[in-house]
Amino acid sequence: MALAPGIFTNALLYGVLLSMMATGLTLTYLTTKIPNFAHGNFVTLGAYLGYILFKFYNVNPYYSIPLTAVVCGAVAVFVYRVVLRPLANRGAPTIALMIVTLAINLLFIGFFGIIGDVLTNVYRFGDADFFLLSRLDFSMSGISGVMIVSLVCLIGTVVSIYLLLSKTNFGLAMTASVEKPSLAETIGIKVDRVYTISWLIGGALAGLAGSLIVFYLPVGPNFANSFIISIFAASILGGLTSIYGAVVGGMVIGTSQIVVTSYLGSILGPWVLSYQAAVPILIMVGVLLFLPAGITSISLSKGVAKRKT
Amino acid sequence: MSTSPILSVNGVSKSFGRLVALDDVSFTLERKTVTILIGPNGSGKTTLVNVVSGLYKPDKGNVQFESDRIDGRPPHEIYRKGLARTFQIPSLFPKLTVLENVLVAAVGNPGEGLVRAPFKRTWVKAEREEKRKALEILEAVKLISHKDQMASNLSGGQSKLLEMARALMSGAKLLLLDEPVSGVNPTLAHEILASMIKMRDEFSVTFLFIEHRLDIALNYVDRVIAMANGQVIRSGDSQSVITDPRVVEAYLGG
Amino acid sequence: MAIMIFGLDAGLLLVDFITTAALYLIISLSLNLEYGFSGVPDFGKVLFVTAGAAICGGVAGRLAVYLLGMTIPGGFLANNTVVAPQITTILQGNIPVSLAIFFCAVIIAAVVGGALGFVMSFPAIRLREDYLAMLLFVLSVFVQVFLINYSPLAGGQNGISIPDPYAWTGNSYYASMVVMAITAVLAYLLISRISTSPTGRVLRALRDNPVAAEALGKDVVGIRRNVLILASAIAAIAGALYSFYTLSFNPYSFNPLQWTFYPFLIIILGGLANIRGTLVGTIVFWVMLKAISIGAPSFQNYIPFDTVWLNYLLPGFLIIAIIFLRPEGILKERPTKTV
Repeated sequence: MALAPGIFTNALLYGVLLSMMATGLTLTYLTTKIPNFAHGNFVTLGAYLGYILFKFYNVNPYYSIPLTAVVCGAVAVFVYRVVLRPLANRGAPTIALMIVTLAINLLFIGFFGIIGDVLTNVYRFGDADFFLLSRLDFSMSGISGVMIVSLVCLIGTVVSIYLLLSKTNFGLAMTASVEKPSLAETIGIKVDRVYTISWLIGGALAGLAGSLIVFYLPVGPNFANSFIISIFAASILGGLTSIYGAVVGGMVIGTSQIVVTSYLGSILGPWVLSYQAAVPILIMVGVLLFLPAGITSISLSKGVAKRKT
Repeated sequence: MSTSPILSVNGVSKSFGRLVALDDVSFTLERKTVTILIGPNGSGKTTLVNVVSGLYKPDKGNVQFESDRIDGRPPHEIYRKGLARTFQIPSLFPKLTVLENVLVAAVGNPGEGLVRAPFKRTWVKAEREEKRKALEILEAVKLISHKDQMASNLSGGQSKLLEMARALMSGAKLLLLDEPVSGVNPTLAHEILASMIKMRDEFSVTFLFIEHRLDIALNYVDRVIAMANGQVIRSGDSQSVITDPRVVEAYLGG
Repeated sequence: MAIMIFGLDAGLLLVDFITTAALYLIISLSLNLEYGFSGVPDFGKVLFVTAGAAICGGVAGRLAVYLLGMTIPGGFLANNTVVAPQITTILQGNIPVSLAIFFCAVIIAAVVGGALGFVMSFPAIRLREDYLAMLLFVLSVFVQVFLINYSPLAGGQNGISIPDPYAWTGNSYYASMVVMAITAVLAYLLISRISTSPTGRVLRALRDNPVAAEALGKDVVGIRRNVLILASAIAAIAGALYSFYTLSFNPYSFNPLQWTFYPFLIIILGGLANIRGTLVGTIVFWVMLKAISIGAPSFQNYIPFDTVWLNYLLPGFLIIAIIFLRPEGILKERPTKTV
């Protein structure tokens, strides 16, 4: 049985956006070692900003992307500097930091809920609680604009990161800070500035994804919760310490979630489709139990698959 | 009261690849003695201690503890038999008090099991006895005034004393110590070593320890074993060993 | 004459408060045992509570049908919303069957919970704590997805109605509250005794330095496993009792915010590895939460947003405040006082 053609573009778009979000998450984890459960909220923030700028100033969300990315990056930096870093410096265990990010997640949800309610009650926006702006999208030869722009953004992101890491001093500083922070410190690298910038970029990438997502999926205050597991699954699949892995992981999780369940659904019956949320979970469980360092830990040399530990 | 040696090491050899760490090492330890193991770096002292405590299996030879062969047995089994060993970096339980750290070291407390735990009567007697013993030990190592302090608040020297107290609590009859007074100020070093003597006399514990601070340590030992290049080159009382020309040469030459 | 507070019956409010506070006390105690004492970050706590609740849903009605010798065309599950109240009516005069379904459901829930705890102990040994936390979290979400989609067990997304095992007492609400409170007291006594025993000390040692504990000859794996089995069984019992309180099971109502995050908040607020602290934490937090939900309708008119969002802001803010200002909690961890 053939799968509907829309499925593949759908899956691809989902994968691209997930890659962007996972890259941001991996970036913040690999530098500061804090699994950030609030990462999805940066995405939601980007979506809300796009929505608000459109509603108030009639700006098409595509054009507000730069501003949105900057704001989300700044908010991420705020979260890191004001909340997480002081606690980490005090020696708070990772679990405590994870709980704190969960708390931040709750604060964001409450905040978005309040904003939505205010916009509905005070400004009379009918869709403030749950909005989708796909009607503002353009299309080129049958492909939706968001697909094109997202793909371009992802490619741009990967290329920029590659250039940043390999060609700039900052990239060098970052590699050093990740591999041997104490050593990096002694040769004059401001490790903490590297960390802060990684949160800036991570938040910006999330904001970027959020701006694009308004064209594709309906957004509400709880939006992050429906995504955060997929984002983590993507990062973990790629290996929480590999940026390129996150890109691959995002594509795999995103496409598999849609394609696999559709495919299995056409064979086994429609009941499979409701288990779509289970796909990233099962992948994540499998990786955590059997291949905790992700797929990037498998290195192929001389035709024999070896596992890096 | 047994008069056989508590430990006997017979013809033990151990190599790592092409590096010969121990070469046909043999010696015995008599009960209730304090013996120091000396030698320049790389002479095999730590490897010897690792073999005896079960971390390594010897390539050749055997180790007898209380007439039981222990070479090749896993460390926790050897520990249960009464041979304990401390490490250079004390490994304590930071959020437990000093007293609790010692109490945890007790072997076979009936209250340590989810089934018995809720029923106080099944363990209260043993627990009281162990608390009494723990306090006695802490008294002996002069940590009694710190008994309710968090273990993380102890100084380096005090941590080492606590480690020794723990080993005693488990009923160890032979204690292997890896540099018990390194990095410790002289006053505390004397205290630690004096505690060892006390434990030897009051609790009938035998000691074998590695140490470089010979100026302080030699005052407290019954016997000295000198090693170089994986071999025992001399053993006996401190005066005769340290004046032995081979020992002097090993220290100055290597 | 019923006393009214903010337009709500004070009697009912009290029953609800005590029942749910007791429920959360049980769950938080089990979590403190797992995380505060043993250092296992059970970010999937909701899983065990849900399992217990689902078992209750799946077992109670069907067992009642069987014991009462009823024949339901189409089976209990398909007709549960209609049949369950019918059973309840019959149970009003049938104490033996009421007790039977109560105890069977709770016991089976405990066994299943314990079994799940046993399974959990395997990754708990091998994984680093942050990975373990993530694993347990996603598993708990998976279980929710599974229960929503898999109807045969407990009704899937429609949930299932449960006959009332307290019907014979004449006042179900009070009976449910009493049962929940008694269970909370029992759980408190049990866990309190464990924590003031040499086991409590060993658990804390295991948590602080598992390698050293192993070197001292402690069976690290075995002890942790037993703790997880016990804690999970207790959580499942709480879930089953909750189902008997609401007389229904619906997988949608078991979300990680309420059933995992709130317990974590409670034990951190009250003080990790401090059992009395958990009691204090439960009461403090629950009073706060209930105060908001009771007072909310009255000041709803003055604010431009729905008060429901306060249920997100309060716990979020509280956790951050605690970890910043007093991370050890209201009652600090104390040495295990055995003798």
